[in-house]
Amino acid sequence: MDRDICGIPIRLQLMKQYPQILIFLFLLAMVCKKEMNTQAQEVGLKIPKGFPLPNIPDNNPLTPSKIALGKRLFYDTILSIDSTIACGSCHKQEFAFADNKSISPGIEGKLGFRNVPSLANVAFVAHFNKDGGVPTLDFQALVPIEDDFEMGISIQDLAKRLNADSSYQSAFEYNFGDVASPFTITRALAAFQRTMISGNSKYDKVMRGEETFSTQEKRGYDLFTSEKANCSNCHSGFNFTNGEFMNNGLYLDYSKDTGRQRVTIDSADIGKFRVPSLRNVELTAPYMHDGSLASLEDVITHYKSGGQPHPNKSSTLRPIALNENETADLLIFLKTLTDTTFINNSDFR
Amino acid sequence: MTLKSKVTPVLILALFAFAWTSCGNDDDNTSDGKTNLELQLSYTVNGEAYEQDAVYNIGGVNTSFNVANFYISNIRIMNEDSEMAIFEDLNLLATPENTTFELGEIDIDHYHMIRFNIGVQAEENNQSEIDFTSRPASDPLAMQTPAMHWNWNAGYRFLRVDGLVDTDGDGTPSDILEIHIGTDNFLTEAAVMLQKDAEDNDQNIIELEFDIANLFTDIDLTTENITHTGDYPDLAIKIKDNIPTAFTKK
Repeated sequence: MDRDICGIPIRLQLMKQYPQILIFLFLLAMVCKKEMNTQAQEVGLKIPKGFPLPNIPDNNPLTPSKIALGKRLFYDTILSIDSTIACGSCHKQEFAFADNKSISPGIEGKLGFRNVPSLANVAFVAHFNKDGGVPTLDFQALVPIEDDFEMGISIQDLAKRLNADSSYQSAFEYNFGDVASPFTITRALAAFQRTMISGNSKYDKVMRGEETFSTQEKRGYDLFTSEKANCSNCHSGFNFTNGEFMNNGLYLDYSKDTGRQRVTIDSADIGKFRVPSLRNVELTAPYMHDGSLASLEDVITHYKSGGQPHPNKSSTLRPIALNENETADLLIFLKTLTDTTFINNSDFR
Repeated sequence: MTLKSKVTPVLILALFAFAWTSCGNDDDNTSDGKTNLELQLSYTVNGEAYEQDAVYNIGGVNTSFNVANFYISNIRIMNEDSEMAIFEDLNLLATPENTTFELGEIDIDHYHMIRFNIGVQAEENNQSEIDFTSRPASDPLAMQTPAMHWNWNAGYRFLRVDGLVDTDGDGTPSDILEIHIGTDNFLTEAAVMLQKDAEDNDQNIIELEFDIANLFTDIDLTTENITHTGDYPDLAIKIKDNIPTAFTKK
């Protein structure tokens, strides 16, 4: 099977033989798109111009009440073993649902080993966690809930807790026709996170023709997309990421965190991490998988150096000769990716 | 038309009917030859009966276990002609408390060998179709306590052995032993020669011994006692290589 349209597997060879199928599939795709748009509209999701439709699984349709349940769970410390940590303790709206610490403490102040990622536009992400170990947002929440260094509770025990609360009990019953369970808890959280769409930055407004870049911002944009700086080679597309796993030469020794190799057990993946989106990057310091670079200036300095000569380092990384003015231009452009509408959106509070 | 010419077609029809019926009887006999097959595991450590939290000497290191669970999948039973009966849809979760499994009906007169995988087949392990949160509680692949799923790396712990080891030589196991083997590359086949004729009754049993100590052959438990596969792959590979040796005919 080569493709699937609306969940129906399609063989491309068949389409070559029977061109009528193409017309049928086109109409089917239009109907599906309309359905997804309708669903998105019903829950008030505004898909920014230039963004694709988010992938919403058939077994977890978005509804306003499910999103509300997900939001309640997101900010409830009941999700941690000692009732001290909520999702929102580390994913803070003011930082585009990232945090301003290198490593954010979990229960009992325990420190894990990775920097908190922004949740902006997770609806469009294909692989979750920095190493891509989780294939879907729909059960990604298991990771922080069960991780000993984050919330530290088995999701079965969490389900028991939630089912002992009559208001949660009725909310789960209403939304899923079922009790709180590993399935319903993770799906409700995913539903809320899918609404976290950020696409109203100055950059977006410029692209939509609503505003214009300043001269310096335009120079920064041109540099960002130029072969010289080569930023957009990896930070590409509407979400400023190619979604790939790459080694950016941060270290020679990745023994503290081998990255994607933890998942694939392939030494060729040592030091590779998912290329992050740059949307709201001004707000998500510190940077890198371990939060080891404090500022955007430090990040640019790293990339200007070309990085450490690790054997898995991406071949696209090489020293970049940017002068002070160019560095400043690049910084100014990156700040146009800040979406103040997103971080002030009361729907997320 | 002579009498002979009238009788011949009738005879042919009768013979055909007889042959048809005989074939039917053959099929019935085959069906009668089916028997229910059960797999029974005996947990041992160094050949002694397994007991949770008991202290065993493993390669000179005092060690105790409190979890020793693993998945069995892709079970194949072969006769001497290498004809195979495959139980491909079965995923069994073996624990010290859960050691008897109904495999299903089988029609074989001699159990020459059993082959099986320790772990879960890739298509189920990768969680892309049905994930562990979506499965009914009765399904061995649903979430378990103690957990057999991984959260940070979608998939299952194929083998989970937890306990304590004596790393300082004072005789008391007090440091953590945590052996969690998983990911598709670590799906491991075991094969055990059975050389056993099928018994002529409704229920046949294959009995295997699972000796946990054999998992740690040539492993120094004072220094090599934790792996979650991806974090310490070298130890995980050693365990994987030892897995087939842990199973023998009882």
